[in-house]
Amino acid sequence: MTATLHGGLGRGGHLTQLALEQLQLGEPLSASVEGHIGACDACRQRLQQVAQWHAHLQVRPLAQVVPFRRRLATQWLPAAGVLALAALLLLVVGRGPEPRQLPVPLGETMRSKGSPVDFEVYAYDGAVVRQVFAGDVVHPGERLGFRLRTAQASHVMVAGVDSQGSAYLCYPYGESAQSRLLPATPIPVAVDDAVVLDAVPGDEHLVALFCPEPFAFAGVADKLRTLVASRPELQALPIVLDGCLQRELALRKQARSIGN
Amino acid sequence: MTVRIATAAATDQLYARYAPLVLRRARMFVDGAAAEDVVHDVFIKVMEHWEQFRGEAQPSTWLYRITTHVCLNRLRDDHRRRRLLSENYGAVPGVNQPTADPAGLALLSQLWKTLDDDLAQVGIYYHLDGMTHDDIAALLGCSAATVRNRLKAIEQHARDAEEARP
Repeated sequence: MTATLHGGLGRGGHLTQLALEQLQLGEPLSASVEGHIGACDACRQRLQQVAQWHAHLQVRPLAQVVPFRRRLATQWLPAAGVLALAALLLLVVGRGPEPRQLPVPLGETMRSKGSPVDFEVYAYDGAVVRQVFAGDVVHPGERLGFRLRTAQASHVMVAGVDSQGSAYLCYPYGESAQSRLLPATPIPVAVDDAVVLDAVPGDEHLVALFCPEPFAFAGVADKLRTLVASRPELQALPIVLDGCLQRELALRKQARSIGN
Repeated sequence: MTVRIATAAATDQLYARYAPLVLRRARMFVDGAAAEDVVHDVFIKVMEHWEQFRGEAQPSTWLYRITTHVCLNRLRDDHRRRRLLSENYGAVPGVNQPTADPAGLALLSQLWKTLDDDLAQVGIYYHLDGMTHDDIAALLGCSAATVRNRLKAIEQHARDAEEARP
């Protein structure tokens, strides 16, 4: 039996809880739902709460369960989902120099009205999930989660590069290190993978790529390393891949001070 | 063995993607620790009914329905049914539910002990979630007429209960 909801709008004219969850998951819904979310402030606020809830749960249990994956995987299958998330973690390792100031914040926001793509980054410090913007300070141990939107189905990837030019793959994380096809979505949707910031201070540049064709991380990593090495006072990354749309975010990673 | 491995891998993906939905739904009925138990119960059901589940176009609707069912059974089993809605409704932090129908919720909370599962589920989707007849029908895999009949049955149940009062 296939259950597909007809409307998603409740009797009171607002989105139902299930419709909000489906929007967050990027599942197809009726045109009336998409129209409503664009016009109703209350439902957009509820949707944001759902998004924060998903972002919170996607990053919260990871570190604690990594060592137990092999033992539990065959004994307690419901936990396997959590463990799979843990396996997707990328510990961002690198030994960067002393922190330097970003000359200019890179773009005030990753989301702009009418943009064909969006890239949002959320940081979780163990207690609170917050959206971070260009130039924001993040701390070692914090987990970064991502939300992406594309007006047209695209092959997507999120990658990062630190101040020493070490490039790393954030999403989709896996052995294949290939881009993943993201269907067109009316709102940014959370992706499954997260990264944990290491203890070395320095700038972290995150790049989301939206391409018409599949591509591999290897080529992206080479380009990111070259770009960072050739631009010590990095202000904005040039186009990483020709023919692709690109959104980026530069964060300042600093050790927590006492009382912070 | 091959099938089992494939199923576990698929379950991994489902859990990663849908556990927040299930937990959020569960917390509308039960508190934190019990809600986490509900999540486990739901994904055990996913594995038990894997062949049926695999055919779903939108797993979210199936999981939403199963989660509601598991929560209702849990409330019945542990003698906390009288707290349904009146105490636990709105327990998800920071979430308001503009789709809820206060009068209907009051009706359900009065009848809760005596409604069977089919009626209770329809009542929840209609009065708590504010869903339309068509959406409830799609969710439960029945006709809109069946939904209407069950809602009438709830109202009749309420009248009978009122008349039976001394």
